[in-house]
This record gives sequence, structure tokens and C-alpha cells, in this order.
Amino acid sequence: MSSLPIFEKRKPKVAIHSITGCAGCQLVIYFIRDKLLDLLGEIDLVAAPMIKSKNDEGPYDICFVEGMVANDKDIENVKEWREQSKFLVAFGTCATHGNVPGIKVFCDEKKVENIVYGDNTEVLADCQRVKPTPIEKHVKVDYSISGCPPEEIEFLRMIQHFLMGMKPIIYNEPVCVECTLKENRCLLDGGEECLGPMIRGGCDALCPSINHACTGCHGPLEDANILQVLKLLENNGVSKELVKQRLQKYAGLKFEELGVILR
Amino acid sequence: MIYEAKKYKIKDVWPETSDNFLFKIKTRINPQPGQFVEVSIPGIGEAPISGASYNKHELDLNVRVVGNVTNALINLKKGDKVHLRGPYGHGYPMGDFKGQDLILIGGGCGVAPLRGIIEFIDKHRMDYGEIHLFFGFRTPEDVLFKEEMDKWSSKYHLNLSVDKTEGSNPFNCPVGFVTEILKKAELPTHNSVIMICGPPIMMDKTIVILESKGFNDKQIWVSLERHMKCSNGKCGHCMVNGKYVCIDGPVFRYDEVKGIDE
Amino acid sequence: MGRFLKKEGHKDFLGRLKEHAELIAPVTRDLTRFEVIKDINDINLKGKNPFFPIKKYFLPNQENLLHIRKGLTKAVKEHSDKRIIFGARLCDINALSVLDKLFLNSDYPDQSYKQRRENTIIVGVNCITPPSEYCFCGSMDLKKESYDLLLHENENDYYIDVLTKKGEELVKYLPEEESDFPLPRTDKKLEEKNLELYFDNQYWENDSNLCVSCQRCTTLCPSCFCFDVHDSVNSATKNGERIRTIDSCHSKDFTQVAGGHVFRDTRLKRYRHRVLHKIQFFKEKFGRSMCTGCGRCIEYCHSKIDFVKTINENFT
Repeated sequence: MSSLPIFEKRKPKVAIHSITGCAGCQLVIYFIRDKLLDLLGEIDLVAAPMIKSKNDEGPYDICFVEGMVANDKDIENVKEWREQSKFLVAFGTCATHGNVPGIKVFCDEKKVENIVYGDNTEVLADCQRVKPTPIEKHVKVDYSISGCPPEEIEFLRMIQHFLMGMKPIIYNEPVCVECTLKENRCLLDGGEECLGPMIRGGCDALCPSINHACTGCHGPLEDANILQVLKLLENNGVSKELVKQRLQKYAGLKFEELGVILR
Repeated sequence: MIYEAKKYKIKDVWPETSDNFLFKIKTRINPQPGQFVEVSIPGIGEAPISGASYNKHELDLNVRVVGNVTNALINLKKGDKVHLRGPYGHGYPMGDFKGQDLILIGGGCGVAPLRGIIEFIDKHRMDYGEIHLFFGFRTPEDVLFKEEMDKWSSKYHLNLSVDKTEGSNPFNCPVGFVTEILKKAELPTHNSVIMICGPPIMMDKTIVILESKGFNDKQIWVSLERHMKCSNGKCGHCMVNGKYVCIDGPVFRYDEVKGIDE
Repeated sequence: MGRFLKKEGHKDFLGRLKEHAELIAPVTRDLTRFEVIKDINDINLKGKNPFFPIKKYFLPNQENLLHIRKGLTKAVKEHSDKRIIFGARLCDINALSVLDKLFLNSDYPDQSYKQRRENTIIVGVNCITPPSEYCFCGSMDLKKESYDLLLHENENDYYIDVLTKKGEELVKYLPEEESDFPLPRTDKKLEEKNLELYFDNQYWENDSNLCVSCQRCTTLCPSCFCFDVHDSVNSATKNGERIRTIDSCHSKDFTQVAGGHVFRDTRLKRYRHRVLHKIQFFKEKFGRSMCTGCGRCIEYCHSKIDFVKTINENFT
């Protein structure tokens, strides 16, 4: 049977790159202990600066990028990787939605910057030029796996699909689906501030399964009925301020695009 | 086992257009005109594809590259194997049409299942009256079954058309939508049956024209497109207003599905 | 013919069930769920109807349809252990009659479903009072069918209705006597209407504006089992499975075809499709409603969208 039609029957050259972020997304990949060695037999990991000393420039077949764009160097990097890559994958919620650093755009930016960088004018100038943004705001992204951090299984499934020569199929249902299948007691119906119905699942309802309301780390579904979910939260007596903070936390920019007023 | 697929050898495969490929598969699975089979590459998945032939020893499938399975299929070569299960669904009830004139109207890759009807007619020519074919494609480059057009035009009333040309028109055929060609055509409205297969918009427009010409809904047969996942009336994906396209269709008499809204 | 079980004999009865095969029954923790019983004292019939219906024991949320070995398919050996489901109510049990029509369809019977149906003994309980204010089974024409035994609680004893030989085996130690029992009654009722007349009714939209597409209505429905099929293999060995997973007509991708077109592209269309299928389409085809009135789709809807209320009050 045929395989790898998109990579011409050779091991795909894979890169795992990073821009501004906590690097936790990469760790998800490197912590796949039992499957990582098998995986390395099937791909050619040509660049992974976190774990390799020798890293190749492109061209890459698949380039995973974690982190969000926060400065000029990040922009330069993603543009370069985009040019060098057949498929560019935004990996993790920083890369897909701007994540926690994106909160800055909803704050008094000067105040935030001063707390962190004091009067280091060089850094300040750099971070004032570039607003924290997801990668897709700068270059075309082929596929996205959100998550803070993203799920190991979603990464493995994507690799499997690539290796089979398929267009990756990415889980695209709300958290509630997996949560209900696990027969969890519904936190939202119980009056809590769970964002489940509007957030992309794929996490197997990790947090609600341990009685922790979904805070939305996978970001919203494009098709979510956000207005109604906000109404449900309001009915639960969840304060507007808390909801605002929750929406700003991982994907504030996306929620704004989808029509939520967060400023 | 209802999901079991058996493997069959590809006797030949060639490109019909840039994104349509004709597969000849050695199998005794012989869909009736309008029926379909589930074609699969284990590891990638299954795709429902209509039969494009009528032959007890080999099955022709026109594969248009639209998804993962079809994309993988076109990388297969002569001698490779594919998995098939089927045939499924209700096709065109050719037996009921005996003694009548047949009008086949196809658009794009919707012409492929109609090719299966033509092969059926070839084998049962005496059973039917006049045969009118209206086949429309986007451009001359998109014309399927190019080699067979001559043969069909010598035997039947063939009306080939293309929506537009960007250069030459090797078929010397009219340029315009198939619906425009149909509008001008003289057709037998009595004792005739119409079979349509094509994109939804083309089918809708075609039916409006046919109705204005005096055809009634019970003369018109349409084939619906849906993504059949199980093909045995369970998974629900292909359901339209309570009808399973996979087992109740994909071919319906138009009055059964007229005006259905989702 | 039925049997009578004295109230004080019910623990002994449950003990016999547990001896006979793996016993599954409602247990109340943070929710009431069907669980495998280790201690018969855990069983609680007084609580709500279990959150997730019994369909999961016949159609698991995920199941292998075929094995894939080195890129070739290999049949799955059906295997299911004998088990007893105790404490299912008539709504869930009638939903099996619905699923039977699809999964035991004579042209295409689903072997694993069939085997699980054969290997499972269902000992139902009749509802004296509805376990939820959302129950409307009293209007859904439930039948005394698809169980092996059904317990109906009287003041001093249980009348056990016996429908099958498998069931008979479990109760033949009890005194035999012919009796009858009433079907559950509910305050909430769905009025019978020809919904085709209301296809363009504004209330479909009003309701669907409240829908958050969480799919709980279909996931928790005792008779919904639409599914998706996909392959999962190790790309190096080409070993893996062709898998079916539970799916929902409320998912936007549900009607997507390979070219990308989505037929039911709005929540309105998806919501209307579900309700019409449940209440009308299935009945036209199979002569009975697909809905058995358990009320879970209303009770567990985040927005409490109540199609029964909509049909009763607004389709006029």
C-alpha cells in the first residue's frame, strides 16, 4: 500500500521551534517517553534546539512552533520558518491564540512592562513595538493544536496522519462532549463558572473530571454560541469581572474577534 | 460482518482530468446503475463512491480527489489493491423504465454514475427507446470519459457542453451551462424518464427547466450526495428528512424529495 | 405469567442476580449512574434515572469495527460477557427496541450489538412516580417489551413480569401468579402534532438560539446512537483499528461531505433535524417514536431547551 505521498516516500523532516513562551509545549513532546523513540524512527528530527545541539535550517516538511509573537525576533523567526516549511503547525495556545501573554493587551501596557522590565529601555522598546499575538497574525498557519499545554494524544494523532499522508484531522467539539461521555456531574449546571460549551475539547475533559471548571485553555470553537454561554454564566451568578478575566486569560484576542467585548 | 471490506486488485488506473482518476478494479461487485460502494485504504479510511460501469467482472470507479481517502487512492498503481464493500443503496430502477425514452443529465463528476447507466443500456438496448445524454463540464479540460464521447454520440443523442473555455474547444461543443443547452432541446415529455446526477445547484436548475417543459416530478430521478459512513442505515450522517441516503437512496424519484429542506 | 417477590426477599433476589452474572445497576454518588455492582447494598432505585442511559452497554462510545494488520483488514471477534442490567426503566428499555430496529435491521445486523443484546439480561423496574419533573414517557406510548423481567412495586411485594426464558430461569424459585401492572404516568406530556406543518415555525429558531452545541441531548439520549468511523493505525507497522465513535447530529461537522460543504450549517437546522427525527421521521419509517420520553435531553440541556413545551405551546 502507498504511504507518505506528501513526503515522497522518505522520512519527513520535522522541526520543533520556539518563540516567546514557557517552553512547556515542547516538553509535552519530549515527555512522550514510551512512544518518542518509535516516533524518532519514523521522522527526521532535523531541528529541535531544546534537545539537540546540532540543528538544521530548513527546508522542513513539518515545523511545529510553540510560543507567541512578542518581539521583532519572533516575527523574523516565524517568517523564516514559514518560508522553509511545507506545513507550519501552531503548537499550543500561545501559538494559536496568544495565551497568557496576550492578557497584556487588555491591561495598562506601560504599567505591566514597568513591573517586569523596570527601566530596561532596550527591552521596553522591543516589546512596545510588537503586541503579543498568535502566529497566524503574522504568517499563514496550516494547522493548529491549541492547549496549555497541548495534549500528547493530539500531537501523536497529527504526526500519525501526516505520516499516513493524510490531512490531519483535529478534534473540533466542545469540552462538554468528552465530559458527558465520562459521565461527569456538570459543573456549569451546578452553578459554577465552567466554560466547557464554548471551548474546544480534545483534553478528555481533564479539569471538569476532577471537579475543576474549564477555564478555556484550548481557546474557543469558531462556531461556539458564546452569547448564550455568557448568559448561562451570568445566570449562575458568576461575576462579569471573573468571566472577563477567564476569557482574556488564554484567548482574549480570539474572543474579541468573535464579538465579545473585553475592554 | 457488515463492515468487513475485501481487497481487490486494481487492473488499471488512469487520470481522466487533473483531479479525476478512473480505476478499473477486478471484482464481481457489480453495482446496479446509481448504487455505490465503500472504497477504503485501511489506515486512512473509507469513502463512498458510485459505480461508473456495468460489468460482472470489473468495476470502474471515477475517483475525484476531495479528501484523505481519495487523495491516497490516486497514489495507487495498477496491481495495487483497494478494499471494497457493497454495493449499497437503491439505484435507478432500470427495470421499471423498460419501453421508455431515457434522458440522462449529468454535471461534472456526476456524469460518472450515468456512465454506469449507459453501460447498462448498451447491454439492454432493446428494452429502451431513444436515449438522450446531456453532459456538462466546467471546461474542455474537465471533460470526463473523453475517449467514449465519440462512441456515445454515434449511438445516442449526445449533448456535450462546457461552461467556459479558456483556449481551444477540442470537442467543438456548445459553451454554456448544461441547463442552457437543455432549455433549447426538444425532448420527449411522454413515456420518458429523466435521470439527473450533479451538483445540487445544477440539479435544482435543471428541474425547473424540466418542469417548464412539461415533465412531471414522477418522471424525474435524482441522486443525492451525502457522506455515507456506515452505508447500512445506522450512522445517521447521510440522513435527510428521515431518509437514509445510503439505503433509501442515493437515487430518489423527485416527488419523494421535492422541496425537502434540512 | 408473572411472579411475586416479597419485599423482604429482594436482597436475596439481588444476590441471586449477582451470583448469576456481572450485575449492573444504579448507584448514587455525586450523580446516579449505572455501575458494575460489587456490593448489592450500593444499589439505589429511589434516586433519579441514571445520568447515562443503558445504551452504553450495547453500543460503547468507542468500539473497533475491524482490525487493521499490516494494512489489511481483519474481522473483529465479537466477544461479550454475560451480564444483567438491573434497575433500567421503561424509557431506556423501550429505547433498545428503537436501537434494535437499526442495529438488528435484517439486511445489515450489527453483530457486536446483537451479541451484547443476547448476552444481557435486563431486569427493569417500573416507575411508580416519575424520577424527574422532565419525564414525559406517559405520552410516548411505551410498550411492555425488550426486557426479560420487570419489577413493579406493590405495597407489600413486587410483581415481576416475565417476558423471556432467560428471565424465567432467574425467578422460577418464586411463586407464580398472573397479574398486571400499569405503565408509568407523567404530568408532562408531548402532544401529538404533525410537525411538518410547523417546519418554518419561528420557535425552532428561538429554541436553537439557546443551543450551545454541547451535544448533551444526543449523548444522553437513550435511543441516539449516530456514529463516526475513522481509522487509527501506527504509521510504521500499519497496524491499528477501524473505529466507530459516538457522534451527534448537533455537531457542525456531522453533515460535512468530502468537498467541505456542510448541509445542516446552522444550529436551527441541526436542532430541528434532531427533534423531527426523534418525534416524526422515525415514526413514519418504523411506526413508533424514536423518543421514549425520558426527558434527559431537556433536564441536562445547559439552557433547558424544552422541545416538548415548544411543540405543545407554540406550534399552534
